[in-house]
Amino acid sequence: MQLGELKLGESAVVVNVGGEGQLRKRFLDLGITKGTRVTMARIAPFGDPVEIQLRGYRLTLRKSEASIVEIEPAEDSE
Amino acid sequence: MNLATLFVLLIIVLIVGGAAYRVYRSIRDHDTCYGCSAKCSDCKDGNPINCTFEKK
Amino acid sequence: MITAALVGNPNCGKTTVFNKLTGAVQKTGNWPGVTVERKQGFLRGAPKDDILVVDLPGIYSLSPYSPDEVVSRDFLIGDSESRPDVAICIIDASNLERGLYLLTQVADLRIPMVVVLNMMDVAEKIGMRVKADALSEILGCPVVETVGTKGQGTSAIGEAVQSAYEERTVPRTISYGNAIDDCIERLIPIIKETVRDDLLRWVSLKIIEGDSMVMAELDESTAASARSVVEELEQQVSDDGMQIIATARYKAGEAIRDGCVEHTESVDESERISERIDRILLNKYLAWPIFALVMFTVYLVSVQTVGLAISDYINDELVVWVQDHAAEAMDSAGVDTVVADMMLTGVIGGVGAVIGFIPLIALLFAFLVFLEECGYMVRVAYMLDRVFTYFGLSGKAIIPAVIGIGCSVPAIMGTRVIEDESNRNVSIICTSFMPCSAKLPIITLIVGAFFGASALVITSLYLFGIVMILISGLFLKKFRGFIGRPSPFVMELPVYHMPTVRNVMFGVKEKSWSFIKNAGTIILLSAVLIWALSSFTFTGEYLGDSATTDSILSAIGKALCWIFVPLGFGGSETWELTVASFTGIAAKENLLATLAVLLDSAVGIDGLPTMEVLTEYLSVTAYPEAVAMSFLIFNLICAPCIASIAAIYRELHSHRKLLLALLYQCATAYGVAGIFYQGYVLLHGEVGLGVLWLILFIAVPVYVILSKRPFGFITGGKEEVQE
Repeated sequence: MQLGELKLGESAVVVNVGGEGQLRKRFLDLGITKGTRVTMARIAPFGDPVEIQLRGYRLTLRKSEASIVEIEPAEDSE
Repeated sequence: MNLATLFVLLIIVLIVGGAAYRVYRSIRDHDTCYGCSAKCSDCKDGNPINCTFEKK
Repeated sequence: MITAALVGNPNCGKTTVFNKLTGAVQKTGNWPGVTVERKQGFLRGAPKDDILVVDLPGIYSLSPYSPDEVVSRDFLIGDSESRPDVAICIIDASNLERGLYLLTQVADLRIPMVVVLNMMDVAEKIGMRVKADALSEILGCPVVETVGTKGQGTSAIGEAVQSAYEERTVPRTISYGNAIDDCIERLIPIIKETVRDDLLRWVSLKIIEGDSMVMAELDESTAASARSVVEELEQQVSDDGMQIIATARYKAGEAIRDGCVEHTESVDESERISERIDRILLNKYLAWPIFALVMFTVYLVSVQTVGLAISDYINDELVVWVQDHAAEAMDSAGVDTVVADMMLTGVIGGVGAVIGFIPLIALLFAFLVFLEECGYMVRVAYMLDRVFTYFGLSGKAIIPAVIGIGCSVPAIMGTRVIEDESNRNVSIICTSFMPCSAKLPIITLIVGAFFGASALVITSLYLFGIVMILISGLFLKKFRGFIGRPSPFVMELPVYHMPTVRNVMFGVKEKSWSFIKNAGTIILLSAVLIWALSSFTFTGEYLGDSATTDSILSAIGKALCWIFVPLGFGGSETWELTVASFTGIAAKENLLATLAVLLDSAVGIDGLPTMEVLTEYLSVTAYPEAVAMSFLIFNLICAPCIASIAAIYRELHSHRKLLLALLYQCATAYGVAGIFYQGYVLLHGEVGLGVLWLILFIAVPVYVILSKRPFGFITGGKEEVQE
């Protein structure tokens, strides 16, 4: 599944970062890399953008941008 | 024109002249926005990338 | 002289450290990309050699994409003549992994390095103890612990830089795993001829990453050979270069982190508290109403109640007192009437009208600075992003809009955070639609005279500004010159913190002082000029204080006032409004000051243009409140003050674009004010020629907005239309 589909409060592990160019590099630079654990922390009014928790900090991004990140659910989702 | 008038006129001239001078200076120094922290655009080579602070 | 480059993530406290090191006073902020230029200054108290500290923009990586990153990397790479001697790498100790990601890249550049672990207090509170000596041991370079906001530890940086320079402490080579290390070894011989020795490692890694700027520097055959080596690596690891490197750097960062971080009991709840606050403030249903309530309260206090009370006191009591006493004194001294009037109405009246608003503006700013410093405004940007992108604007366009509530000049410069050029141009043109603080005096007067100084009306004027920006987005995007790609909106929400009184006071003082200086110069000059032109006829006859008809200025005003007929204030009985609209270009405070000088004569009442004066003045028109509002709308949206125009020119870099921008602003102002006035008239049952104007003003924008194909008209622009 992709990052945009993650439900509020659930965690997942990054499998691959697709896309290309600036957006892809930006995600990789921010630590969204293979094996990283991410949690869906907040969804804005109107459903967009969203906030994810990773590597000890929080990041806001648009759902459409998040869709390039492939994830698989983590075993121990809170 | 009596002395009092001259006096008041002098004050006005000083105030207005001072204002005009300050406006002239600000145009010359490209400092059009006085107190603003983003004010300085008096850049070497015209490029803000070379902005230097005075050694304090 | 030693040149030291300051690198670090956005929000890591880099600018605070820079300020402490150099004694400079640069604005720090919560916005991503506040430092969009490079600033440099000399380190105070350097132990031996002079140290020039260069503050680079906050970046996450040395990618070739955004201007911030390119500026930084170009500086760090330098050229054959000069390169920074030392890199000071600032890391937010509470955000270690991301900081280390950047650090590994700087380390790969083989520059002597000093690591600064900032925000040690924050890390401590969330239960992370970073051991500086362990980190220093692992990296092979000095590590300094600091708490930038308290100024702790910054004095040690100078010495660390000096010794790093003398001993050339280049950090240890970081290994990214066998596969990558092997690949680097194979690449070096290939690029050895064309690349500087000290950059061989960095360039190799960039080649693996597929960095476009680096690849463009290589000649065809070198590039081809390099590519095939990289392709072998990609096959081997079954992944592509960009992802391979990024993942490897973070893995290296994790290893470093594990070697020097101890986890202890989390003491401070500030992050949890931030969390809880956000749960309410950013709640799906409450967020918007709360925001509306916050803004309404700001204006309720700073304008409608406290602010206005203080301003009224100054205007109605203090300034009048000064005028009365000055009048008396000059009268008994036998001062000539003309000169006395010049002093009373021109100097004291013109400037006095505006000075009274200082408390109001100071109060407003206290609120705005507070909201920005505590971190709330960033959340607002987050909330508004969706709305802005829907209208084709970059989500980051909110940042200049919010800054614009204070003053358009820094707001226009703030559009630099928008990466895409077309989107940035739209923002540059539209930012001045937000009512700036200089427009507040006239807003207060008009809303006070006709709408009871209602905070509701005032807040909606700001809302109106945003709506105009959004509609402009729809409109301008139909012209090919403005079609651009939406930039990624990836942002970190800073933890809420209570702004220091010092910071708030500083912001308030800055703005108030600027206002006073403006009053003492441009406004003063304009007021005296207006007084002179309105008190003398063409034949040099002095008209006395209470009459302006037949003056030079009234002739000019009446000659030009027809321009504003569709807007409701084009009649010759309101020529003063026409003149004010023009003087407003020098400074928007003039809108009030000019009326102050002109109106008391027109109405025959002494003193400042209180709201009663204005009501009286406009009562000659058919619909006074509509005329007032139309006048207000026009002046809020049309071309901004000279300072802002200069700022627009600086950002657009072109006379032609500047002219188009001004044309758009004035035309839009005209159209919208016209729609308002004619619509009002129509709703009151009066059907006349005005209806034609109404149809025209509505039809043109609607046609443009609804058309399917973009216009190449005027703006030309790129042929390809991006999806």
